[in-house]
Amino acid sequence: MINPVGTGLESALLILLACAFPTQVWRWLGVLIGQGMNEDSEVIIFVRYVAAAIIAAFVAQVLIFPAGALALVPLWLRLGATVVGLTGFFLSRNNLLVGVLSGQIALITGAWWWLG
Amino acid sequence: MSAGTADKNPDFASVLEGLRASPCAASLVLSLSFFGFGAFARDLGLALWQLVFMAFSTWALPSIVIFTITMASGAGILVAALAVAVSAIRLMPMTIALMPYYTTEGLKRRWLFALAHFVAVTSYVEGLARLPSRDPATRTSYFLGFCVGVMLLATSAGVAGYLVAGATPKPIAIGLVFMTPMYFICGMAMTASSRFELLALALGFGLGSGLMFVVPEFSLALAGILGGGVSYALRALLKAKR
Repeated sequence: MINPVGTGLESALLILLACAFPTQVWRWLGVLIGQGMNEDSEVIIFVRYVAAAIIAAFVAQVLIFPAGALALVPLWLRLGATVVGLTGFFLSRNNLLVGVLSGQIALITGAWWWLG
Repeated sequence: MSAGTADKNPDFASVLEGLRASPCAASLVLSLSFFGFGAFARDLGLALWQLVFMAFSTWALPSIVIFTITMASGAGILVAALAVAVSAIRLMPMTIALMPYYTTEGLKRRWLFALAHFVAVTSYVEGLARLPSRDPATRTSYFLGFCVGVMLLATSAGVAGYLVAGATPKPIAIGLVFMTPMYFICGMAMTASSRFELLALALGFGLGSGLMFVVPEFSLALAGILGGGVSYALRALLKAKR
């Protein structure tokens, strides 16, 4: 099998350039912009809302346009399992493990049935 | 705030305390996601050291997944780098929002960049939950230890997943991929300090799917600014009414 990222030192360089750097650059910018800000300043509140919206948008895109194994099950199952997980999360009064596990159980059960 | 006195090094005892606190629900969920990616990486033909190197150097599972999948599709370096950059934009507002908690201890500037290296949904959710109640004088040291611990746990789980690849039944493998989006949305809902932040989550979800059909490259940034902006404006409006 051919390694998609290549081998040896060349692949390490590729990882740094095309994976680590495009990720880290946002964190570095965050440090530079965020210096001297107060935790309950209006800017921080706005920034937190933006972060929440971006992450939710990211989740939506992973669920609706999945790459890899998640594409093996239909959209209704991916969205349905997310609804089950969120319901479990809110019913358990914001318990992270209950939320994630109930979503997982719904998805895995559904996948088992769907894939036969 | 200790303006101008940022000259300290981390407090060792607090780093150890953070390290001991790292096995928790969040690191378990993240470890399971890494376990799933480990198995996936082996199926694609990656070397084990590359998996560990990606985890340590990048420390954002979505970036690693997108990079690997894009490279495996044969799209090339530039496309992969761009795809990673577009998805990792979330890390900037997250880092900014954590910075007020990172600066209270007065650590040297280089330690701020070291802490920023660990910014991801897990450390964001856990940081906002743990840091405000901790003593500002040792807060950052504690969190540094915590983040290092989470990284070691999750990367070990990735290695384990790599080693047992192929033994995982298909539905379980799909479930492990589903771990990340499910955790992201629950974690962010847990972190939300007001209903406006929950509204930002809901708007982001809708905009993220809708904008994907219109401007896929800028959909995340736009969904963030629009969703966050509308939520913030609504909050300001209701505040002014009172």
